[in-house]
Amino acid sequence: MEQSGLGQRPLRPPQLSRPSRPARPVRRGPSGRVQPVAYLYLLPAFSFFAVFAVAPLAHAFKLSFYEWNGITDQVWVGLDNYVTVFTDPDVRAALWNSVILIVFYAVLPICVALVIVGLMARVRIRGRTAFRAVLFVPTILPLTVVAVAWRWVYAPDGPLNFGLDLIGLDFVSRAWLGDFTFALPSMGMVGTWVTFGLVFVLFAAGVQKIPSQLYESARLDGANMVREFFAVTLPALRGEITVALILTVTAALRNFDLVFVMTRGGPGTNTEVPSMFIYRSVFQIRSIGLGAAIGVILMLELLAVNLAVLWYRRRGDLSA
Amino acid sequence: MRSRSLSRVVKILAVILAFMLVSAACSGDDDTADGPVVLDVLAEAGDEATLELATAQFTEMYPHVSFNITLRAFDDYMQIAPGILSSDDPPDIAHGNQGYTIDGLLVQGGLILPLDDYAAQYGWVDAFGDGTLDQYRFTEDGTDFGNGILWGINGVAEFVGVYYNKEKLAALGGLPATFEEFDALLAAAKDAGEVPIQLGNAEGWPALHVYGMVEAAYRPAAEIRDWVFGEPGATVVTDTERQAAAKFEEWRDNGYFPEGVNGIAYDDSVANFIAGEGVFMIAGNWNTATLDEGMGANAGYFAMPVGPSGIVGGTAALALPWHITTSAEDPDLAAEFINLLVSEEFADDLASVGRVAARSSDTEIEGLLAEVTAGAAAVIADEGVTLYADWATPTMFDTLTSKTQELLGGQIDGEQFLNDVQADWDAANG
Repeated sequence: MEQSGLGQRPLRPPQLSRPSRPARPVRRGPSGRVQPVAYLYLLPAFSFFAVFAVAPLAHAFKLSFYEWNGITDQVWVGLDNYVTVFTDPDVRAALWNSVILIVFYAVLPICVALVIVGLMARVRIRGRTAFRAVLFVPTILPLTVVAVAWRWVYAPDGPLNFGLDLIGLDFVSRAWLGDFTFALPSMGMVGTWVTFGLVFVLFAAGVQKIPSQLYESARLDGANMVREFFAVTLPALRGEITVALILTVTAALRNFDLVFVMTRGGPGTNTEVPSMFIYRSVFQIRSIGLGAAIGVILMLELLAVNLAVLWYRRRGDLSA
Repeated sequence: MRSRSLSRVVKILAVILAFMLVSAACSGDDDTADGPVVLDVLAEAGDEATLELATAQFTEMYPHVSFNITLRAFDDYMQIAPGILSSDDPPDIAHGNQGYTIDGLLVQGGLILPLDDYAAQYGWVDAFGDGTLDQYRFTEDGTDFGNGILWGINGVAEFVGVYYNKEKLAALGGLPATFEEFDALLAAAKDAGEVPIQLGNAEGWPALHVYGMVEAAYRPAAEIRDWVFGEPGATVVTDTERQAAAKFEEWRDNGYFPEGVNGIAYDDSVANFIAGEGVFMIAGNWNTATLDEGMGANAGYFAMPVGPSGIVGGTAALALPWHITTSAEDPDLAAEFINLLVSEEFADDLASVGRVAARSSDTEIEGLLAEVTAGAAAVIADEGVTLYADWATPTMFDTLTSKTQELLGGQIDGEQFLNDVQADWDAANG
């Protein structure tokens, strides 16, 4: 019961990177037991959650075991839809594409943001607030707007190619989104552009709460910039990195808007993602069970990745 | 985050449900007294002007009838229409779409009425020519496309043909009378430093319309129709079709299409053509108004001459079928209205809103639309209609869009293209 009162806090180095674990959330009665009335307070939020999240989820799960076109009777097919999903090479390719997109949506922006944040710890940047606001703009833009804008940027006679031609790189310019090699990376870069602002602002805020004494002592100990980054900045940002990972990985895996507006999965099947298959299965092929099955698998994939991130973080916490 | 990670299906179903509730709420008070009758029409938004004209005429003939029209843009329409038709408050008249995914579904669900009796009563089959209406036929169980009962009809032609830049073509030669002449003009255009065929294939289906023309040049239209309708033994892996695929590859390799064709959006390609890039553009007649506005007298149109004999043909069909729903309160009245839409008299009105009537129209139409209408009439007269290949199976649209991109991008060759497409067909019809 070390968190029973501030005065009794044992003399330990302050926990810098994360807020101390909150006190137990449930209010206890005199006997130390949960008062039943406490659950009443949960009811409004939970009923909302149940109606709009749990019920549809359960319904989709049920539908994934049926063959159904939306009109005629549902036919129980057991695991057939799942078998179809796992034996269809196109779906497997789409799942793999979504993994590649994680690199662009999550890994790349986090790495770049960490480097910049590390630099900022040493170098004073003028107009930091304005800088941050501008970087955050892509995050608040609707993705369809982003997609339309970037489709224009990547167009054969768009600004990107114009710029490349201008500086003599005309052999590089191409129809980016129609190119079998570059379509997926091109779309991925848009994801990086979108998520970078969020990640950067998260990290920048995280850095600000690191006490400057830590940097001072690191510098007194003769740490150079790189050493300082790994010894002070990075450990302090672990909480922010976890949040950033969860948000960006989720965005990568459930990516639909960008693909739908920019390429519809093309050229060929090069930028196919699972959510496009859900859309097609339900609205074009009208195989709602198949769409539901892909949806369930996508959800499990998301859940697994996020749990892995959380588990890794918790393990880090315990060993710290 | 949990709610966000929900499957999209559920979200989309929720949207449909919401829409059904709203539409039910909006149309709940239609059924008033005995005298006045309200016809509920659910239509694709492209027919807004058509419906305005038709309903005005119909109300003049039947003053007690009024209309309640709901319009939705194409993509939306195809997503929500089956749901609305199977809801508790369906419309009396609604658009469908040829093929398994919409019309087949509506027939299977028992949501629309057979029109054979009305067709006999109004003489539709004779008027449109034998076979033309097969695209609206399904067997009673909704599984055999192109055969059996007539479930819908539309009098508007949606034909793919060849638009051309008159100035540029004049510099190269005259109108081609045969496919060989057309091919030669492409080579001449390339030599002259022009883009022979304007095309933007970011969506995948625009190139399909071009391929359909080449296909029609090498195979009889009836064979292609049989394949679309899933007749036993039909295949695209034949020697004649290989020649077509090889010709398409030749066009690709010769650089007859714009550079980066898979990265150009369809709308942008139309804009490029208007701006003077491209001698020809093989595209649907729904572009007529846009081109007329953008190019004026410099835009021309002809039906593709398929083969050496000079007959014309190619990818073409009639527009989205009008259906009468099984819950229509007065099916006879609904049929009367549909007959007005497809009647010869209404053909002139169709032209006035820029649509091409499949039944010949006597009025003087001017400009590009006249050429387009003449082209459509010629294709019908030559029995060159090959329908839309993506109707063949529920998954064919996706297969064809990705495969044409791969073919144009050089990822696969013509032989692979045909094998992949046939594999889809075999899976559905085997």
